[in-house]
Amino acid sequence: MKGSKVRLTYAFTVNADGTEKRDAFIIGKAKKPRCFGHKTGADLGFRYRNNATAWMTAILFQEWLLEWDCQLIEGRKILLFLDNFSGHVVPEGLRNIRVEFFAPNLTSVVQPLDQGIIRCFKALYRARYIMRAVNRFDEGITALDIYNIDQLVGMRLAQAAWREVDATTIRNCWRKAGILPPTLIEPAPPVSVPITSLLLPAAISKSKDAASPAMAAQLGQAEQNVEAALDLLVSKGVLYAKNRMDLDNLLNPQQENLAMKETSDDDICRLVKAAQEAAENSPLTGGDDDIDDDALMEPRPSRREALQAAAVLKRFINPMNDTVARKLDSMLDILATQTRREETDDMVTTHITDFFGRKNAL
Amino acid sequence: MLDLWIIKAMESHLPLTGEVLRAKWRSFAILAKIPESEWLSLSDGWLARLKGRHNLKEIRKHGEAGSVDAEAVAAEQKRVQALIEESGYARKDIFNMDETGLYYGQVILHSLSTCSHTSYLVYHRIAFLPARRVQV
Repeated sequence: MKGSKVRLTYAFTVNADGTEKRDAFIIGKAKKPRCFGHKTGADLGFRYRNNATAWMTAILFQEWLLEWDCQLIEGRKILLFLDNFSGHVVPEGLRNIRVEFFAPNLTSVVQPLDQGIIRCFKALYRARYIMRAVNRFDEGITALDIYNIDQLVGMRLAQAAWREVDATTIRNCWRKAGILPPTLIEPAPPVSVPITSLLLPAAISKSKDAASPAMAAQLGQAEQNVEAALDLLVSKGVLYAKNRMDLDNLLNPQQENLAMKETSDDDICRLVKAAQEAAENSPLTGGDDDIDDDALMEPRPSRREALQAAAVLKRFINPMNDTVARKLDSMLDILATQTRREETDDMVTTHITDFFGRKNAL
Repeated sequence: MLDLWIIKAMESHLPLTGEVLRAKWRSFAILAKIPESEWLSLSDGWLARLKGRHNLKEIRKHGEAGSVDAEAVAAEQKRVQALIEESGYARKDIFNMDETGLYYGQVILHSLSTCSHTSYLVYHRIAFLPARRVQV
């Protein structure tokens, strides 16, 4: 199944006042997907682990939790709420983190992340993903290939989408979950309705029982952006209107959450066993490098190509006098300098190895 | 496995009874090829624990599609509020973590099923059973 190759697990962590939004913990299948270019997830700035199922397991969970526990500044104690998923096994030796669980089967109502934070992330991701497809179509890539994406690009989009989820949305989802004692809830938000919500009444009414106009604003806006991107695809003749998925399916595709309705008892039996075996055999190094989206990967341009592209962009923005263009101009300069330096560094390395009379590794 | 099946059954609003659960346990035991000599007795205590695990206080049909027992929700909110208040943590020190699946690739053309039922069921529930006990 093609789809199974492109599913990642994202674990999100937020605090109740929205001031802390930890980098996502990502679990995939391949240890070093080819698109990582021989680098590890950490080299690329992600907290990435892998196993055969791309699911959270007790071992991955414990490693993650212990690491966080160590990172906490001396004296800071925190309280972490989780659902009672059986992979959430609290390790021994936590010094700063106290873990509490929600009652089973109620998490869809009382868990803050389920009150719109994850949905907001998915809408932001999907909007970026579809806009990328639109842009690729405009670049002249055939309609069949515009959706192709390798894991690294997907993770970059998701990283940007997660950073975009704003503190107000997070605060409001905690409020909506109704689990904070009244003493910890800030006074009701100002009545001022954001302008966006006035402009987008339709989008807001669609986002289910939003806790407040402010939250509806980001979620509604994000969902509106997804729709707008789809409209673009339809208008360009890339996507047939009849093939268009509705928003709910798009943001919460059945495969993402595994269509339980269609799972037979046999499937359940198999899945559980596969997960157990995967967990026992090779929790940290499981999966294999070859399970990869090779076909989707686009080779990294050479330094020379990158420098040329930067030069083209500079020429394109020269006549523009807005702040974005000027900012981009200086960033392109930095990129060019950095790229040239990397090139020189590589050359130096070669000379030194030559000097010592070793065989040239390159 | 039975845990997963219960979640699935609740999604489909199947009426669950103790007998159904026992029968299902046996059929899973057969599927998992557990010798009959190692089967659990499936006592009332077992049933009670199972219900407890799934918050099936009274296994009854939910009135409205997808609705969660409002009383149970209110009780849980109260419990957590009290827990937080008592523990004395500041708001910035209270966290929530959860997993979700992300299909980073082509989804817009996938699944054109006219599934009007957009239940939010987190796939990771399928991922695991507690430890290795022969618990089907």
